Amino acid sequence: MISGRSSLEYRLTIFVGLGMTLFALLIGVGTYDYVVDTEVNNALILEDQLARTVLSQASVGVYAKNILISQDVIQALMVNPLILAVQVSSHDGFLVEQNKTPGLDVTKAVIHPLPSPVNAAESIGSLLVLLDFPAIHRGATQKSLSYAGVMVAQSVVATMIVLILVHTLLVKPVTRLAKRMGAIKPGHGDRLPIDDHSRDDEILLLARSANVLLDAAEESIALERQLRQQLAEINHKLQETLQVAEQATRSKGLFLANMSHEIRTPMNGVVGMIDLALNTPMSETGRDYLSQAKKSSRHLLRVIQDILDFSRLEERGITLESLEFDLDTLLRDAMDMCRWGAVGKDIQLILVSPPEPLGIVIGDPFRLQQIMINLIDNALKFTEAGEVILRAGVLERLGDKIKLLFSVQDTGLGISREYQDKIFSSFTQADESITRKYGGSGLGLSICQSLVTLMDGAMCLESEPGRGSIFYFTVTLGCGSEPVPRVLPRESHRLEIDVPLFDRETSANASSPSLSRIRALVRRAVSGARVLLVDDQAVNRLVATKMLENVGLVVETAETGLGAVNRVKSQHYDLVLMDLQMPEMDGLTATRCIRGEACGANPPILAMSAHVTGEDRRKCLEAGLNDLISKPIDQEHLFRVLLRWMGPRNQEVQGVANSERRAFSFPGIDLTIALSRVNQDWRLLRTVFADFRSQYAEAGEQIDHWLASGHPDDVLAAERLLHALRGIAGNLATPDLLAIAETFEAALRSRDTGRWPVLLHAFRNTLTVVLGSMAHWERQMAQRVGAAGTVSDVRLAVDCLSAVTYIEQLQVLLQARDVRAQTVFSILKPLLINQIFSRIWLDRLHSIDYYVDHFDFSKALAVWMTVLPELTLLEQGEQR
Amino acid sequence: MNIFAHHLLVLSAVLAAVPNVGAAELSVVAHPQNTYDTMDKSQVSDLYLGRTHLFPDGSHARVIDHPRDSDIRKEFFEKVNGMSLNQVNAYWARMTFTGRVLPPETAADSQAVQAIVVDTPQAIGYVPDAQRQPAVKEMLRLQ
Repeated sequence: MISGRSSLEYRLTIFVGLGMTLFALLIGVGTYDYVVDTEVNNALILEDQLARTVLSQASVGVYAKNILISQDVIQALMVNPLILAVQVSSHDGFLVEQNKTPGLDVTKAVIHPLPSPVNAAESIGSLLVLLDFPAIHRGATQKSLSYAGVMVAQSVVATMIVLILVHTLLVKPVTRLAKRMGAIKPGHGDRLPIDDHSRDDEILLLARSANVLLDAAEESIALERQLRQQLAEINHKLQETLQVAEQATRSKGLFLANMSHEIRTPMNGVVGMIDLALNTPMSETGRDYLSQAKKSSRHLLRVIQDILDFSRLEERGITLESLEFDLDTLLRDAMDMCRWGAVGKDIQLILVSPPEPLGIVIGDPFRLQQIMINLIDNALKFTEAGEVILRAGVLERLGDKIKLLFSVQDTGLGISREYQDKIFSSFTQADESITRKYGGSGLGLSICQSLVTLMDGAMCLESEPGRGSIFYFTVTLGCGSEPVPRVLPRESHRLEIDVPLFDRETSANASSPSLSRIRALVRRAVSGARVLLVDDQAVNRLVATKMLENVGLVVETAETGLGAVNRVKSQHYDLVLMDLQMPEMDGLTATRCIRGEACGANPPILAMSAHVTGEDRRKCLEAGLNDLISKPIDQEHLFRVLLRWMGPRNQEVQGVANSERRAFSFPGIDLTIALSRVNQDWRLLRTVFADFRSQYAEAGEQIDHWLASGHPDDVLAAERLLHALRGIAGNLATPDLLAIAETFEAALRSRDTGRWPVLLHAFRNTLTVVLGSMAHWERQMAQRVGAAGTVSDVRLAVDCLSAVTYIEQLQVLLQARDVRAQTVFSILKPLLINQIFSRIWLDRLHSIDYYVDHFDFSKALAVWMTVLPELTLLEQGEQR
Repeated sequence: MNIFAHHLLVLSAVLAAVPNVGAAELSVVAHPQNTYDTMDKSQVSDLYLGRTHLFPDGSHARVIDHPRDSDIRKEFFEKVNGMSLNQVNAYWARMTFTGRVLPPETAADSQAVQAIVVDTPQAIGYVPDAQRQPAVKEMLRLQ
């Protein structure tokens, strides 16, 4: 059981054996001196006795100077082996001696004086005896060694006896006991056997103690079993409780979601009706009240949205989308959506992004936008005057990941240091008084932070009370595959200053279109188009119908998805507005049905929903819906979407409403507007462009030079130059240049030197682009005039140079049912789509595409013939 | 042992002294033609203990003693060197047996001693002073 060196027996053998041997050796060494002393003393005593025996004889020998007697004495002594030499001598020269080895040192000899035989008191000579001390020492050593030897032998024997006794009396019983104890399994009532034959010794005591211990273990095992059982029961109960709690939380979440939806649906009615009421003639006071009511309802909607988001984040119900989107567009859209917050305040809303486009990224565009809008709204809310700047930039690119930094800066109240830490936590605002003054759920920043964290980012804040705040946040997104062709030129400036669409009460900018003007523009663009409105709620139908009819649309309604499908089958509509949540057949199913029908006219279908999660958007796109309008319907938003999908028939509308369309293929110049300013006289425009180019080609370098000198007069000269350029830029419809020139001029005037380098860079870039576009346009004009001479100016302006050829060719090929029509149309289609045509026509183009692809050339030709007159109209340069 | 021996010596000296009380004087006598007229005790003692066989001038001496256990011999040695008769006898026993030296010749009495001394020029002997004959020369008187 226990083997080798660790066993008690082994150790005892070693310790006892070694100990006793050591002890014996110590005794041997310790007694050596004693033994030697004794031996030497014994030898000396013996010698003395011997000497005394022969002393009188030696005296006689010396007295009588008798050699014989002397020799006799000497021989008698020499018999002893310990005596090496003897010398008998008189004081007057008589000497007899003998030794066993010659040359011995007699100075060590024992000297006995010899008395005179006549007078014992008189010394007549001496007897010298030399003892063999080395021999005596040797003898003593041998004796010591033999003593030690005997003792070692004794130790060995004693050790063995002790070991045998230990083995028999201790090791064997203990081992036996240990084996028995090892065999015992606690919990089975086993005990060590204790019978009457057991000797009452320590082993028995050990066994008894072990039994006591076993009893105790037995008890605790029983107790543990009991406890474990209780614990299992408690666990079970906890599990049940947890399930109940989770169920409750789920129910609560569901309730929240349902309630928010339930609240939003009637809010549709409220907001819509308010909008409608605002459109009717009424007193100034009534308008004011209604505006306040609208503001309040917007706010209420926002709070509901916050609560919904927050509850979803709390239960981690939000999963981020992974969609490709254009970050630049997203930023601009975010700015657009925030404009209303600046209404009535003297705030400039500015977007600053790097010169090169941020490009296509993969992530959740809606959530990212939500963060931005939230921050911008906050900034607008707490700022009375000044500017709110949204900045965007790339921090780093790591493989297929891109880390972006955004910031929203305001010149508002600011947040004191003590509240800066608290402000991100739920239900917290900087100050109780702020809640009273500005309202809000206090959830916005908490939601933002949660979303930013979900996007692998972080959020922080820099603020100084009274001077404003900057909220920074980073997000990590995926890099998009291919950058989509951009309408805005790559070299264009990236500084955009948005001006609110709505009238400002104190606005000095009279050219800014009012809502009524926008409505008029939209009416012109879409008037007469047929729209199908699908919604099960009568109030919603009423609101939406009124809004749509206000811009001249012909509105038909359906109450169910099925009804909508039937109507689309039987009639042509230019647009369908589809509610998503309806009884019987919901909007998604209806859309799928409509898209599933292989009918020629596939109208754009726009969803209306209170659900605006990424997941919902994805579902919508999958089902074939084109866009999504969030409920309650906001007029401005509705008009934007209408313009997007039904397209402008009016160039002016396009210029105002759709910034993407301003550029055409001549970046930096809105040629449509420019041409309209010169009554479509392109020759005049060419002269104006040439003048501008010769005058301002070196403007960037000139300003750079002036600013580099830094002399006040030079800065003033730069300011004047920009001022002059600004006036011309406005007339030439170069909005980008106008904007940057304005900003730059303002920065120069305010001596805000920190911004000069950035602005100068942007200005030079923009100017270069505009000059390039002008030169490009002039060249193309010269070519077209040289080649054809009859092509309309508008056609030239839209850069549809080759389209005419294809338009004519396509008709011939379709009539001949030539498959090459496919190739020609595939070239023609992007030219037409990218240029001037409205979305209604786009729809028709899609139909043609569909028919051509399916070799149904006759149907394709039929649709093409409906498009053709519009093209001719365009060629004639229609003017309204 | 030494102490014991000393005691013995003292005891024997005391015992020996007792019979000598009132004893007569002894004369060491020699032939009248002897070179010397006087001798001292140690010279006499040496001759009688066999340490020498010569007179101081180197001539050979014929030493005549009394019988071994005679009173006069006892008295003589007591007076000449203080030895007891036992000591003298023991001494001579060692000299005789181990040293191979013969003790002096003995004469029966003082008469016989003087007869040899008178006849022999080298002879030396001792007699009670009262019995000394005029034919011998007294070399030493022992009182």
